[in-house]
Amino acid sequence: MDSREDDGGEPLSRMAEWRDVTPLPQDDGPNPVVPIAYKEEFRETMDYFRAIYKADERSPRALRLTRRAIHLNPGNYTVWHFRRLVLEALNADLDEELDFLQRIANSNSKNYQHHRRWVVERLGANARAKELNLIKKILSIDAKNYHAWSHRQWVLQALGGWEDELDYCQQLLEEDIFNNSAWNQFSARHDFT
Amino acid sequence: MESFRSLTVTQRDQILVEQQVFDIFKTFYNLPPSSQSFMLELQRENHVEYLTKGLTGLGPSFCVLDANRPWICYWILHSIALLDEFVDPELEDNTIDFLSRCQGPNGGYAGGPGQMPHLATTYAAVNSLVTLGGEKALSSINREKLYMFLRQMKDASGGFRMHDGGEIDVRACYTAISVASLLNILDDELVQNVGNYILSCQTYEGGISGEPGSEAHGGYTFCGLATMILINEVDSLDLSGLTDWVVFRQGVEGGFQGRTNKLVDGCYSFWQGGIFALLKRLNSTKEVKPIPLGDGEGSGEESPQTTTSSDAAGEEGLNGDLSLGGSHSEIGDQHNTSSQDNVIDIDHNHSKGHANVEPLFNSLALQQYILLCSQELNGGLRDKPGKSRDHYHTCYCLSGLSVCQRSWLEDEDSPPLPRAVLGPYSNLLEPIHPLYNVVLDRYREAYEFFTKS
Repeated sequence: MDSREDDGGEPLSRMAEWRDVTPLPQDDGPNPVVPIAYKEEFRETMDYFRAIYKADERSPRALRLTRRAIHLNPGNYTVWHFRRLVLEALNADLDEELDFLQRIANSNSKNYQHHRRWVVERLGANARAKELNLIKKILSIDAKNYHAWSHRQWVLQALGGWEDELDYCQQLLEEDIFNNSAWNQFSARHDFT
Repeated sequence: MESFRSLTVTQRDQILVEQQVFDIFKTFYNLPPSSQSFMLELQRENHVEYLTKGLTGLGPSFCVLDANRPWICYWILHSIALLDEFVDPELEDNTIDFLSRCQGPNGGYAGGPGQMPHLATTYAAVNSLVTLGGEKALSSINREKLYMFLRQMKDASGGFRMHDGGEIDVRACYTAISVASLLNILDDELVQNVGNYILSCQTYEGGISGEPGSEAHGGYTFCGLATMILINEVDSLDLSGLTDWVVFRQGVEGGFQGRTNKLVDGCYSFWQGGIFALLKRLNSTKEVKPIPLGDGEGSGEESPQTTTSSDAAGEEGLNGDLSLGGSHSEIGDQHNTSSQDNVIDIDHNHSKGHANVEPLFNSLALQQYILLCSQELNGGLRDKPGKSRDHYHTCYCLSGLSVCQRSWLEDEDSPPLPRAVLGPYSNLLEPIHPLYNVVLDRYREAYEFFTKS
């Protein structure tokens, strides 16, 4: 399914498996504004993505293509959305998906968080400990990361764990009494439980 | 005295920024007056050049914004409009054409041609087209389909999803409601329960968060407050709590932080500064009955505006000029064709004979931060010293500057007194409509257009 190996940015046009696909260029028009000088790899990846997206092809190679596109631009919500559809269609192993997400966890994008939520929701209570730990890791680098805190609250709400949150908040506040995100978490603890 | 090492991360980061900012201020204050004047000048030509260049070409690093291109259009076009400059007719046409290609077959605008429609990029596209103005731009918006798209994004909880299967948050609510209001397609179906959702996002601090339970945040507070005003439910918010929160977000640097104990950032000049513009309208129209927007225009009831040197008298003007759509119940009225025939009496003298208010924030200090710390002399504005300029910060620093310059005025349309404008009076920017953040004139044109059609 979703290969763990990086396909190394090899041109898709030279890959046998993509031979049957005609890449679809972006319909920018003759005189686009805010035109971006895409690098060749970006342009080609998105041309192939557009073709697959239009054809609604929910296949293993489509999944790999979305990974490639996400690496190039994690802000493309259309790609993330389509990736979700493909995962569903393939009945993919979501633990593997979580691992994939972990590897690109430096992405702060909302798309990433939203997709992650969807995966965790499906994995259920088993994913809880792993999730909370991962978020702790992110917060240890950036203790006020807004999306991380929102995600943390969501996990606690969906999968439980508020009982231990007091300790965590206290720990953070001992490190930095001015961490308003930790103070907010205190208050949220009361609202939610 | 504590050693640097025993300070927390928050303190360390804050001190570093303060040092940089105060260095700039110290240097400034030690300059001879002529140099000071120069430093406070808005570098209009350079900003326009930077902005226009972005409209015609962006480097490869912008591929991370490949799903946000209508936003780039808006940031650039709105900034140019604030500077009271114009875009080449050819570029205008190209923009209208490009945005049409971002418009989905089932309504709404995507981040680029061929992508899924998204509420934020819809907001940006509509605001861009309103900013361009004119028949061609405004009629290019497929309102019927857009309405269907908004209905599809509406969630049972009352909030809106950003896109099909996307996240729900206060920003999604704002972008949806703002667009619907601007295009005169706001109805009960769209409005219902939005208020409850936003209410659930007001935190113990008084500000509003992105989702229930998250931290109070300037961007979401602006979005939440504006939405509540647009749907005529602002009174259910704890407004005094909100005000208490936002006034403390202005730092010693003069600029605003987005959250408690975070760093100053130029873009909050608008997200937080704009909140004051909204609050000012609420407070000023509380005693007055609403009038539909159209009736305020050209009603022939304007009294001549005079400027006196005494600051108590300020300016006399059409104090009751509610054509800014500020009244909280007016927004619902104005787009109801049935009530547009009702001419309601208003009391023109409601503000006791003067049209000036004292802003709740330090307007001159914010202007000083924007001009001395955010402005890049060779064009563009930025978050803070040490950060790079970008179109987003250019847009919101300038929007905030516009708000500052008019923060003493009840009537946003009147020319401000020179002392309200830091630097030369030529720094004066166009007034905005604070609910939508489009230039006021363009809003008016759009209003006329979408009310008639």
